[in-house]
Amino acid sequence: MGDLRDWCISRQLWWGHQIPVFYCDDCEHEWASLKDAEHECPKCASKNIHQDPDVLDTWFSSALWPFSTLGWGNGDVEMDKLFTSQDMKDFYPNSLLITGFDILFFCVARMMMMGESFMGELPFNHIYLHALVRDENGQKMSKSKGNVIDPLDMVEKYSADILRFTLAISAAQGRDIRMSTDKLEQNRNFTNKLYNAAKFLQMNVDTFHDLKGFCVESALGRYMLSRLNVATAEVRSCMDEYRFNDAATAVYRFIWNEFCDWGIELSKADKGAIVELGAIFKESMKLLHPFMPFITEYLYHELSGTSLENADSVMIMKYPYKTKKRLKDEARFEIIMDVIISIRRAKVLVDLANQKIEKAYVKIDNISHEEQELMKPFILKLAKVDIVEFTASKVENSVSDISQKCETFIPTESIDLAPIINRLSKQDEKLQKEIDKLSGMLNNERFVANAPEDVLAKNRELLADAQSKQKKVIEQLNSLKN
Amino acid sequence: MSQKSYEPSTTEDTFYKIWEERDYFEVEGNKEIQEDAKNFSIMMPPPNVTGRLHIGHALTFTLQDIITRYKRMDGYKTLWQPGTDHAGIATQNVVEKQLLAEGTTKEEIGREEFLKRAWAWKEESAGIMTSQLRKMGVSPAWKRERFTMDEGLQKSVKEAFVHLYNQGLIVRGNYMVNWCTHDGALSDIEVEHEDHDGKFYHIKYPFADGSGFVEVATTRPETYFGDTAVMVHPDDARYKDIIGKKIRLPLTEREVAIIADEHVDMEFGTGVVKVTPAHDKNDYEVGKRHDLEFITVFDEKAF
Repeated sequence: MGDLRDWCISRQLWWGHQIPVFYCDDCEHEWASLKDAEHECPKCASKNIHQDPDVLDTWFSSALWPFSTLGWGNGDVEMDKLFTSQDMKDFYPNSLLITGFDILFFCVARMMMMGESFMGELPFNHIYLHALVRDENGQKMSKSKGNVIDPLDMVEKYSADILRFTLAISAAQGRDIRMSTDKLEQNRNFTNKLYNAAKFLQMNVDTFHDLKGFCVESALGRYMLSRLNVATAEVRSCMDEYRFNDAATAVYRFIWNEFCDWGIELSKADKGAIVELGAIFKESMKLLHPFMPFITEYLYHELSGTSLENADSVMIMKYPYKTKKRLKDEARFEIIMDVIISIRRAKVLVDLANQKIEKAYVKIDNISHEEQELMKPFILKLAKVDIVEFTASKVENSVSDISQKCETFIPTESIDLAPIINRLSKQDEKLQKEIDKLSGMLNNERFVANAPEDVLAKNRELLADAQSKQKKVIEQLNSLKN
Repeated sequence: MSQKSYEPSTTEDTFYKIWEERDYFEVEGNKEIQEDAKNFSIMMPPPNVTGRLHIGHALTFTLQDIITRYKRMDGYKTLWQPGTDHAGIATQNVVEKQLLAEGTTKEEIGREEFLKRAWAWKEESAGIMTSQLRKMGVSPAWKRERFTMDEGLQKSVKEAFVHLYNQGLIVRGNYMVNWCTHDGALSDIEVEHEDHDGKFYHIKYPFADGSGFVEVATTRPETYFGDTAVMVHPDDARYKDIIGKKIRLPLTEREVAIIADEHVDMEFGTGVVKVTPAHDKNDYEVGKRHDLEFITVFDEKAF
């Protein structure tokens, strides 16, 4: 706040706060008054006086806003309706101001001067300055460019929830926001995901308890609860630092990638856990509520068997606050998910990606029998296997996959290999033909001598590529034929 | 799941109405979960909305609402103070245009009647703006909605003004301002800047002692009568020996000094410029530095 110049506060307008300065036309005395009207000069008692016709710059009254709205200088006009005597103590300085860069000096600097001057304290604890909203190509929106996104149209076309969430998840500090209908579409998918998750839960259980006072006992329930707690910790710490985009991302990731992609899928192997997942989902609606207040309210009540008309709103319920991570429950499910991914990968190798297979072996170091039994149903269901066996050593004659926490094996005797071998052999032949053709050209001295350098480089590249592909196909064939 | 599927447009309106009717947005809306000594306040910077909400508004109100809802659910006694600005010049222009369309002017109807019209327009436009805000699902304490010219705030503005006036912080004086011949003084934010290719006018300024002249290059010959100095750069070898000499201005016969100031661009024009402190921002500063006379040559209508 250095290098300040005088501020011209008078405006030659009619609409505004008329300057409360009066002039005596006789003795030229000039005075300011709190009264609406003055009738005589306090110095010479002349009735020949007039008020300054100018009004105050608009920013004069805005500059007082952080404390004038708390009752400062209002007298008792509409006290206890528009403000209370407690307000100044509770709400000054204001906790936060959110505004755009564009009015930083015009508004914010003047609020600071007035606050400091009249209250003896700056008017805000924090100021959050947000950036500009641009179009998807980073262009400023303008009518002449025809790239304006009208927020009210978007509310109509998508929903207030979707528009709000899209703005929030894009609001990285210090960076302009790029807005596009693609982003709005993507977040519409998110609301569909929420809706479908709730629908799945309710296909199994009619209504769900609140998480508070409810005992989550199943391994899956405990795992999901732990993940909710982790997300809660992240959302809270982001919100406390006004990192709106990170907070929105954290809740999005939990609900979509963890709860829907894994939690719901895993619950198909443990339907008893669904009653717990429902309570956890309801809690996640509270976590999401500030961003998407409407659909969260709706789904929360749907799953509770209540409706807003006859129950309290989510907006005055306690925000999720438990942040404890359950390491043991998390470690178990990290292994379960790793095994499922590993078997799925092995199945891709033998063209059985989406089909059920008879048997798979899993090799994990240091795992108790009890844990094996816990893991089995999830693996069977999600990896689509009839029998899963834990093994301490490699399994011969099998297709295998090595993952972070496990190795998995699909025994070749349990699958019909003929069509796979057939496909790989054909691939091998085709690659061989290509290799013959390319190496024929590259071994032809005249071709090499006459062809442009970039053509030669291209052909060499193609040859190396075909050779490495063939090598992999042959390796795969050999492992299957054994 | 109930039979009907989720319809954002109807659900959003229904829910919003219930929330507002139940006073959830007000300071005591979350009384049941308020915790001791946790207060949160945020002001809606009085938006100067004269038409439809744009995407920048949508962003700022969304972020304000997200943090408010978060704090409210987190047990804070929460105030999100809503309100609107009287937007002096913007509002006045709208009403003047309305009058023009009716074939009259503000001078014809008088100040009192004009203000009545402005209040009527304010009621209408503030209503439009707040109903658009409600569509965004925002949750400010609507029952406390203020207007920068409501009765209480008129009082507080007077209070602040009189205080600053009596401290001697508000004074009348000459000052360089952005000026509109129709609207008077403008704030920097109300001014749009445009670059123009100007023309150079060369004027010969004779020395007072009759020993010749210097040639001044200017793009603003119309302010000639307000000139109170001629200026060169102190390092400009061409003009070193004329610093301090007097010029007798043609026509007015007024004598002004040749001064040296680093503000001069030696490469620009002839390197000699005229100084018109009352009509140029840079010259204003120069005039203050060198204690020059300020001569105003135009009135408020630019005549």
